[in-house]
Amino acid sequence: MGFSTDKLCVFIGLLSLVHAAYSAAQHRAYLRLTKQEFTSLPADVLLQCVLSIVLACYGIVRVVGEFRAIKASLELEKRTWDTLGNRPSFYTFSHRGRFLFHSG
Amino acid sequence: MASSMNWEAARDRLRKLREEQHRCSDEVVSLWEDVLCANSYRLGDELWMVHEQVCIAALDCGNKDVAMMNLHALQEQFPNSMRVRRLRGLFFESQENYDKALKIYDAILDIDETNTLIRKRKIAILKAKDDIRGAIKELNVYVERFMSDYEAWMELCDLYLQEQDYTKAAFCLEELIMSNPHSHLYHEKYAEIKYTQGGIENMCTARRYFAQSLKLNPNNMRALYGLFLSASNVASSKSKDAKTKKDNIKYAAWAAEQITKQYKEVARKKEVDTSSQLTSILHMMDEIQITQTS
Amino acid sequence: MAELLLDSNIRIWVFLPIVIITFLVGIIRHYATILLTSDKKVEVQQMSDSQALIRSKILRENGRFIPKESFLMRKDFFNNEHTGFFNTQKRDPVMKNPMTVYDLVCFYSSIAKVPFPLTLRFKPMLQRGVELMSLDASWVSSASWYFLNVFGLRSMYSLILGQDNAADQTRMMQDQMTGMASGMPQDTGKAFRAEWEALEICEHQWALEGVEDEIMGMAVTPPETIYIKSKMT
Repeated sequence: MGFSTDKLCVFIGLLSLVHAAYSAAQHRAYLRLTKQEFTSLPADVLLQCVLSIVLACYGIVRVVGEFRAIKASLELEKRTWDTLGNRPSFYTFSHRGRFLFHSG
Repeated sequence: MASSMNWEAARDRLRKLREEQHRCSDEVVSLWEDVLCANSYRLGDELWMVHEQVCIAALDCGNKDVAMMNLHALQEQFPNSMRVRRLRGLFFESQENYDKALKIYDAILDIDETNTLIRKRKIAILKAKDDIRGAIKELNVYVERFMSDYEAWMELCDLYLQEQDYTKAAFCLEELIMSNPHSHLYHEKYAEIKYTQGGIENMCTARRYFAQSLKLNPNNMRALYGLFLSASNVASSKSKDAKTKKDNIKYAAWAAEQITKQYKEVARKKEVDTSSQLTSILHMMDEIQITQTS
Repeated sequence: MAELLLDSNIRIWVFLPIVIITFLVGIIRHYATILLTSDKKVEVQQMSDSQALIRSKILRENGRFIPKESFLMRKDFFNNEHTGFFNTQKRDPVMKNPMTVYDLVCFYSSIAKVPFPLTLRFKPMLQRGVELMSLDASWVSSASWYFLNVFGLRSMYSLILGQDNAADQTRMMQDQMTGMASGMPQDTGKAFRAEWEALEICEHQWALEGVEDEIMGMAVTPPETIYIKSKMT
């Protein structure tokens, strides 16, 4: 698993999101108890909610895999037959390399 | 040159070569000898993969000492590993000691029947002994069992091409096209095989696949030439109707135009004088070019 | 309706443990799979069958890139009544034994309330095992809570354990093979039957029809080829 700042971001973001949700629920319960109208959530809860979503999204994007191009052919365009046609399981050694590359 | 790299750059280069399956064995061995051998303690867990990579590269270069050194390091760390035993087999293969290698491989297969890498090595031994027919036979048995092994299909295609059995090579390449339909190289190679087979139907198929390869990669010069040649061939054949001929002349003309454009583009970008090449190409095209009759 | 008064102990001792247990079981399954895969012995037959199924699947998906005769040749190889691969290979069916924590969890036949209002539509989904018509849809039974957790925590696993983790139980619950080396999960005969049907109804539509005109920009071009066209001009 390993520790990294991105995973920490995700963790803190999610924790803070849960905390914001709990605060919102508590706020509503409080309003119900004091028989007040529910107009909107307090600003700090909203701000915490938005910030924690942003933080969690940023962390998730960094943690989960690499981005790849949408068009598959773009990536493949750069490969040549030299590398695409290589079959590592079938390499044989009866070629000139033995004499060309070995100095000793 | 390699000695001027720091160890991180060398490690990254080796990683890239490993992942993209380049066969630059002399570079790998020189990177190892100059840079990484002294810094091997810094590589961590990657060290064992690097050992394997350098061992195989050293066998390619005929460098027995480097190969043995890496092999010993791996044997010390993983004494009972099939993978390391396979490397020993590879070592004997490079010494042309095929019997010893076969003994090792048979022993591994006795323990683990499903080891496909070892089965492939046995086929490679047949290939190294120049027994192409035998290798083809064994490989056929292999792909009947393991139908989705695309490396094996590619190898079979190559072996059939060596034997000039183009129909069967085309069959193998179709498997590869299906596995990776966005690769312009597979389409182009298939088109080339069809072109080599000859005959009008094959020529038409070849033309289509060259066009498909161009659709996937517009900068594919071989495919442009292939399109030009196959379209010209169809246009000059006697057995097709006038409309097909006209269409093919159109395709051939378009291909010729694209080729000259590409050469001019290269000349402009790299400030290289390609005018002599261009004139010779245009001459060649005029010779093959079919003038529209009637 | 009137608020049901429930013991808050239910919340603490039933619902939270279900979440924690499900989560931890997933993690344990992931690591156990890693440890145990090295010991697992796969039969050649199993590998061979799973590869045949993969090849047939790829034929169905990408068969339109090869000429029609080639496609029909391969379709015949698999589906021919007398000599086809899927018709001549017989395998013994074996019973599957799913490994779930479901039975343990169902001992808890209790309910608790979700802190937000839900419509009646959610009733059959959330109240398995509790047959009360007048119960508000916000009340969730423990069995359905368990299932919610299994599916919900899947994405948590991919966050925490990285891609391709083995804690994803839904993959196991489906009847498909997951790769070349893992072998068939014991129901080869059925899989062959399903693949035979799928291949039988598959038609060949050559993707290369009119491709020359496409690249020359004469036909009506779909957006993808317009991008390529601008590269060429």
